[in-house]
Amino acid sequence: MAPLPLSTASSHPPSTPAEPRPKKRKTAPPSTLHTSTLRPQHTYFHLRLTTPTPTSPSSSSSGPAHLDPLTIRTLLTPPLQSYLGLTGAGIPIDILKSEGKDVWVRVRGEDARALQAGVGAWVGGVEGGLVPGEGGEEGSGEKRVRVAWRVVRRGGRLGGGDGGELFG
Amino acid sequence: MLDIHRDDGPDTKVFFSHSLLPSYIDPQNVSTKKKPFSTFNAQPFSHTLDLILPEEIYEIVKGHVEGTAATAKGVYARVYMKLGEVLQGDFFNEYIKKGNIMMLSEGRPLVDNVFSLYDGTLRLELDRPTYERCGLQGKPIEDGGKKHQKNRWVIEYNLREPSMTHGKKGFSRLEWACKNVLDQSLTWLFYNFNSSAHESLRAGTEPISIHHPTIHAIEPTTTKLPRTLVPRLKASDPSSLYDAEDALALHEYIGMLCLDSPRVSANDSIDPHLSRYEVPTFNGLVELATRDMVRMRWRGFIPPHFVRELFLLVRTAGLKVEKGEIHEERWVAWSAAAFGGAREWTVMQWAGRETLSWECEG
Repeated sequence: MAPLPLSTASSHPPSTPAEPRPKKRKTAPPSTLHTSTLRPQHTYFHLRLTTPTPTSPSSSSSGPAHLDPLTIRTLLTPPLQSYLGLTGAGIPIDILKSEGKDVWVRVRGEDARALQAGVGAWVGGVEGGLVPGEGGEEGSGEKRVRVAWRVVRRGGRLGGGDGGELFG
Repeated sequence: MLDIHRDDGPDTKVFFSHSLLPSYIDPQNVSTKKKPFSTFNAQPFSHTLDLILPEEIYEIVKGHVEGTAATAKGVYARVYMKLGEVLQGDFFNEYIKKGNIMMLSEGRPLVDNVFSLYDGTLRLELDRPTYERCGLQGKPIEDGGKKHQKNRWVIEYNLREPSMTHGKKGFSRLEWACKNVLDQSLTWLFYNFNSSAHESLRAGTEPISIHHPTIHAIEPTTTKLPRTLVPRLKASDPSSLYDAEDALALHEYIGMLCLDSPRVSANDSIDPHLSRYEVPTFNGLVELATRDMVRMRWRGFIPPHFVRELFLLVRTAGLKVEKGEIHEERWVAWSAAAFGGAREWTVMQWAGRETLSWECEG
């Protein structure tokens, strides 16, 4: 019985590569090299400091342009402390950015609930000179303003927003 | 342990992937299945698109993407109309049957009744009472077994099907529902994929013009991020970033750049008591460099098509790789947030073919 064509082919020295091989390999390399699903460790908050009186455009120039990180921390500690005592005051908060009265902070995922509940139930006071747009007139002395936090957005990633303002 | 420390935060999932771009991309016929193009397509309606790039690449590409000479131009319209009017007359024939448009109505997803139109498919997301009054057949939205969530339904119609014409039975039922149940006037965003729509929209000669739309251009705003700390990642590095911690740190870092946070600036000195954020060095394996970066931000009603054009434009203009030249550290990052705030993606593209992408849900 004559040997099968296949077996004769295999008896060839391996140094001569078969012609169709490289063609086949061209389609083979996958374009996706790795995929995985991740769970973020942090929760990000976009908070806004609210004041009872709507800021009039004339006074918007007074006070600092942005909330100072130290002021933010000072305004976030009392709500957490009144809610959870020392445990709450010890929650580490990373202040990422402040723009006007808007603040972006980061906390560990397990502290997110405490921060949300804490700031939601708190109203406090602060020197007007520290809040953008709330600085009193020149020479009128320091006036205290009542402030509260509003949670604009909370999520496992930075940025976002729902685009609702585009509907005008 | 206090009960308050339970981790029940928002259940955000990040789908991370490392991929290679095809070695040749035909601009007329771009793949829709391969990443990152599949990432772009998975999110039909974006409201913000960010591009982070080094200043030297910005100088090269700005002529292509900014101002009057911009090659990628987008115009969207805000219009006040009823759902029924979308399915009538010229609007229906010109835009849906012949042309290609996308639309989205106002409302919060999973709360209000939201209507959208993309690629000829009308999608109605309704609460229970409205769904029952409509008399149309839909599918319930998976609620993941949540106890106190109201049931909601989705009704989908492919309006390009031949059966979707006036006088056919199924279409008449949809018309009936539009006339009797879904008869509120709503604010819609409107985008026409036809490239000549740019001029005719402004001239007021389009079928939409009778509804008096407000027309907006999708134009970028540029923010300089001077003296930014940048991890010196090379194009050979992505495969060593598969660890969840590293991949999340890099994603967070791009988020910080998009936010224009002072914490990524080389000049920043903040007490660790106020912020412990640090630019990732991936266990000290990657050095930090100080570079001038630029953030370009487009806001508007942005379709995947627009993103893809820009992506290819920036890649061909700014990330060109000469033969034999090694530009391993050049990269740009893209990020887009979806309407409703439930989705977002980030794509990091190196000069060459390496791509990292993060798709976030929730």
